[in-house]
Amino acid sequence: MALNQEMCDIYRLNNLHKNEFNLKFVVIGDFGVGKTSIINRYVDGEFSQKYCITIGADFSLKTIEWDDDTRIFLQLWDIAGHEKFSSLTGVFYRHSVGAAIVFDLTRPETFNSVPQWLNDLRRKTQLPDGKNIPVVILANKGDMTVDTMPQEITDFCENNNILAWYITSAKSNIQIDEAMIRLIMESLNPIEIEYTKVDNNIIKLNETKKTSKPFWKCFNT
Amino acid sequence: MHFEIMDYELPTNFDVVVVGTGIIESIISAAASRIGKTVLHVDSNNFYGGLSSSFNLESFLKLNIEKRKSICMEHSSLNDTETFFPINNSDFTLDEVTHQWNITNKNKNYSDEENSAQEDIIAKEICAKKWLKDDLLKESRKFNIDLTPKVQYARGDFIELLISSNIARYSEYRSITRVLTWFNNTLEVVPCSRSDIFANNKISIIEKRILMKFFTSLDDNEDLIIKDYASKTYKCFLTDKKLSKNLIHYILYAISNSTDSTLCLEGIGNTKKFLKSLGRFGKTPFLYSMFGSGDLPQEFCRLSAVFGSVFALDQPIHGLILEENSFKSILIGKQKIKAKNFVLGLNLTPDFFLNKVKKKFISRGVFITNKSIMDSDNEPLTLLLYPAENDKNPCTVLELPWLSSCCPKDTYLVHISCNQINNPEDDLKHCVKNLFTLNEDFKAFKPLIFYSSYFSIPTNSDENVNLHDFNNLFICPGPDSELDFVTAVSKAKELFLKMYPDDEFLPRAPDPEEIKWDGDEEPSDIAQ
Repeated sequence: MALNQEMCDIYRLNNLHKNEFNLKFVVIGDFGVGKTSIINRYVDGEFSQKYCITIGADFSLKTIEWDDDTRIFLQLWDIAGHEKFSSLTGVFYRHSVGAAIVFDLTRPETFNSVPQWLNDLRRKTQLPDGKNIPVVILANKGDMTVDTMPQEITDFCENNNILAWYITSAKSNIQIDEAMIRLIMESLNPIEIEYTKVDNNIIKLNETKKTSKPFWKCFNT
Repeated sequence: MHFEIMDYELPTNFDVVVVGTGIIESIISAAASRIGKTVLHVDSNNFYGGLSSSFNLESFLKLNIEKRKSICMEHSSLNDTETFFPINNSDFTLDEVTHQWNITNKNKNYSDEENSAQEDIIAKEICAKKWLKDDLLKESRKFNIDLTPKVQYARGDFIELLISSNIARYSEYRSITRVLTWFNNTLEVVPCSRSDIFANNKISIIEKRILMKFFTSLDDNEDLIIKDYASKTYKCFLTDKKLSKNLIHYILYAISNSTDSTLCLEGIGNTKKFLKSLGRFGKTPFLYSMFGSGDLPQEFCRLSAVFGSVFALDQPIHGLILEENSFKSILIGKQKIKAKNFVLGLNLTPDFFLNKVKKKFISRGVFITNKSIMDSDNEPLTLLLYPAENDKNPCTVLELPWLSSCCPKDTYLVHISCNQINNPEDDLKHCVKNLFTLNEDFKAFKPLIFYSSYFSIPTNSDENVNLHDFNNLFICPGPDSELDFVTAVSKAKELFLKMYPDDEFLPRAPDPEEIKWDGDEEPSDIAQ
């Protein structure tokens, strides 16, 4: 017990110098394209055959020891019941610094709604400096056979300022890490500049903070 | 490039269908979803919040032309035993929004582009806060303009609900920096903190002690007050307490947000509410939600979605179908969607269920200005409670700096509201005239108005609703003229408990890290 505690303390001391960043990425795309599977695969390294709607969780969290100086807490936000591109709340998008738009390679119609997802994203998000947030496109279920498509995707990415696109598979764990790392690399730069300025006056209600006594109590003698 | 939009079908069987995304509808949606009910939440608008929404500048300027699309009825799909009640479509009264710019567009007369750019730089150097209409439009996304602005008491029911339900994790707030009142033709700070009261040179040291004694005595002698002042006004009570004119003004018009006719018990209640909320989060009792009040319904919608509700905006909602003695389904597009309960915003409620009464409105003014109404070292977030004057109602003035994430840097966004008497411009005229100027040369003290807008918000309560004996339809009133969402919370809770009397209203939602996934045992009711 005591030893464990000591180990923890040593670990903490060794890592105390690290800069810690919270990054929020949103994962969007049509119903059933594999958003939750991708998130679970990336965060937990697991894949479930069963289709399961994400209940009760806003996001999945992955801690990444990025380099000797940097630790990242990556939040991956799933769209939950907001199934249509126009139906996402500002609350969902707020403070996101990266996005993955997912479609299903085996259902080309899910690629057709990628522009709508992108449009909704661009309308409701921007980085603190006013720039667009970086976006990758994930062509999921890449373990299955596909005939056409890739050229159309490449064109779309070029025309719409998409960072990169990947053929992924949550099932076989293909290219998901690569896509996320690319997105993190792109997101880190503006973060370092903008987010290190901490604004103490923002009130988070769930973090209790002591404030001064009301004035009439100050008169009590 | 042309893309075909996929035909989208909604599931067709739910415990609850919620129509409209105002604050009450959204709270009920979250509460039902939270206890495991299947919820479909739809809106015919393509944005959340209805009359509680916030808009960026561009969308706000387009408000008066964006009307709900006309709805065609589909009778063909009805059986003989079914009666169709079309959704009301007449009450979205924002079509009379006026917009007035007091600054011009970029001067296009320059023949030489470089020249004009240079002139711009010079102009900016001379006066750092020189805005052109185009500049403001370019910053459109930095604006979050509330239709119905709300501040929340730090210990009010709404904030307590956010914390107890853990919806607070979606919220970021700013404390209102100062509460002001209009007294003897000038702005005065209402004392909320020790430094306020010491800085206030209008109140003598004796008055300060009297004020303190008055506040601490409010809890005593309650029975006596109830007996003696049940039918008397708060003003009468304060006068009997021999408080000075100054103090009566602060307590009556600002601290208790009352009028000369407010009854004593209500006034005392309001005063206690104010005092109770002091010292929790900031210098004043009030909080304002960053990114605008329109964020608040969305926080409940997000929670609702996270617990499995299906959301769809921009839906062609036609009407409700009654069969025998209860509502069985709702017609959305070509789909007939079944549900056990229906929750409906008052403005959508079929005429059949409404008694004809004179409609009430809030008069609203929105202004973009160059500086605060009262100078300050930092960039203040100001609430001015402007008392009734002659034949005018009291006005609530909320001035937001860029730190509230509601407007760009070097501008202020000002909301003014009051209960309507004539029309918005006329109702607010005196207040606007005293606080602002339209004349740039008049560099004296007052902030300059860049842009102003006036409109009316309907505020019908549900007292005119007559649901007859149909017990699976629940009507949510629209915006009210309260400062905060206290009545919205109690209404939502009341309706929810009518629907599910044995269930808990919004128990605490777990944080993401508290949820343990068991790989082998998927919850069977949600696996598909």
